[in-house]
Amino acid sequence: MAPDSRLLPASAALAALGLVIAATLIGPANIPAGDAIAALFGVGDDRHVIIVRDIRLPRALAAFAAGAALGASGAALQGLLRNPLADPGVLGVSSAAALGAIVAVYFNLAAAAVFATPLLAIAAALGATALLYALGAGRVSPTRLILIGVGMSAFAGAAVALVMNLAPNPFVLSDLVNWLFGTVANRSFNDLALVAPFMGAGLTAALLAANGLSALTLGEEAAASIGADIGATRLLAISGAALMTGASVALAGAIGFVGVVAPHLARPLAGGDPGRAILPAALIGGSILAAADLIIRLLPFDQELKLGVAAALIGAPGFVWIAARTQRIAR
Amino acid sequence: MTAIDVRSLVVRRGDATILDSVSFAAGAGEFIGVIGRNGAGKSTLLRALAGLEPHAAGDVLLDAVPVASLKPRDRARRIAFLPQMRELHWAATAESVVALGRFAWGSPYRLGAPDRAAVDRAVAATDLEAFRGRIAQTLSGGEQARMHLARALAAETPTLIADEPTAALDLRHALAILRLLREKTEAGGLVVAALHDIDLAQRFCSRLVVLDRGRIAADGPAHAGLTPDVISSVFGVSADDVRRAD
Repeated sequence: MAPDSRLLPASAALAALGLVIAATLIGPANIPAGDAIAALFGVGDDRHVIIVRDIRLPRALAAFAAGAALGASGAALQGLLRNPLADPGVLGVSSAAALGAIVAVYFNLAAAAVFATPLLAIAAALGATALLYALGAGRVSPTRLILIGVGMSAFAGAAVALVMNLAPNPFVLSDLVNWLFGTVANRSFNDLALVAPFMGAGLTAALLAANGLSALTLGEEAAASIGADIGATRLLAISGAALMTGASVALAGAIGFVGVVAPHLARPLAGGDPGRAILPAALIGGSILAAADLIIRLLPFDQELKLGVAAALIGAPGFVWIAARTQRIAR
Repeated sequence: MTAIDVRSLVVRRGDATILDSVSFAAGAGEFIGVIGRNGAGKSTLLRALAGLEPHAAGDVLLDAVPVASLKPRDRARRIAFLPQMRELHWAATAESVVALGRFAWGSPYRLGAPDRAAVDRAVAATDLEAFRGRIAQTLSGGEQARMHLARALAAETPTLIADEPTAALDLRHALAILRLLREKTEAGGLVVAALHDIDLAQRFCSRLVVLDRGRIAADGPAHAGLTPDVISSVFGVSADDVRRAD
């Protein structure tokens, strides 16, 4: 364990904080940096305060939270499945959660119960993750695992298309598109508060699994022999990843590739330990989406680019690069 | 003092019976070599001794308590296990892999002083000083084998179950490891190891258990040697073949 092993995650945390603050200071509405900082603390022009505190800040925090949840989910799933390509998007967990959220939106369940959308997204994510594990995700080769995920993704995608096909009017359709491609535009603190408990619970579960995930570096048999409770680790990692992915999708829609790229960047900071990579992966995943959303807001397009589209444009090449590089270790 | 008592152990996998009513007792100070052909059930027996093999019938008792009923951490503080399949899934330093052997004593991230001392002793015993900081995947096969053994030794448990601890090792390191295991039993430990080299097993073990198709074919002091009958029936070669091959 290198002496600087705590310094690097600390600098990742600082970078993340800096990004969120930068996102509240920069934007199409030209507010001077000094005024924006003052507005952040509720001082100055009322319009500035509203723009900074009620529009920019919740949006930046939503992007960060969605990315952090995906990064931590990816780290937990990778540790559990011992597969550097595992991530909620690749494995179809995100699409399942999006399906859950879309069903809630389509049937207007949110009007009946405010927690309906996150709950349905999380339930769908949980079901998909449990199904993956039941299909032997812990034992089959990385390639087969990805194929199972592709199948699950395709099925959830088809079900989403079915719901969209049946959409009664273009307004519902455009709402559904937002869930499918992912966006944090117009998010409020209420939206954040709705998913925060689930993200918190998921992160707690994933961190409780961290020691067991470290032991799983040795494979299931040796991990059990050194005293890891494999059953408990499995349950905590799966439910943690599903809670975080479901909450992230409920907040921002389905956003791919953050969950695979963030843990990959985090692992060197954690000395290769999958358990210790969870928090850095959360910070890096959050930073990636906060930065991506900031760039989207500054792009001079009439129609704003969806966050999920931007993430995929950057993340998909990253995924290919990791897949090509890790073959050696992943068997 | 530690004692393992195996009573009429039966392990089935699908229709196949892997272990068929195996019984034997082992106690502190013994260095038991488990030998037999490929597929004789050696690995399954060792996993069962380590409490990691669900069995259809019979019992494995550790100090009179069924080993399967122990909590993972309690079991790991009493039995260390080196599986035959030595997996390593992430790029970690050799030292941090060895440190995982102290898992049952606390967090793998913050080792206490006794844990660090145990890791140091295991690293020194397996001649790995020079490789501590190296990424494990960059080590040679033999170095990795020693690293995994060091992981099991670092637990410093009364009982060590090792599946082919000398596989992939050159003769010098194989001898050093077997000497190490013998010292552990001389200090009051119990070591049960599957070994493929019968000569070395006879030289270092105090007792040999010969498995044949899931049953114990012979069980006795190692110095008594294996009779030509056992060799020909269990290994499918005549004692003359073995001598001529030398």
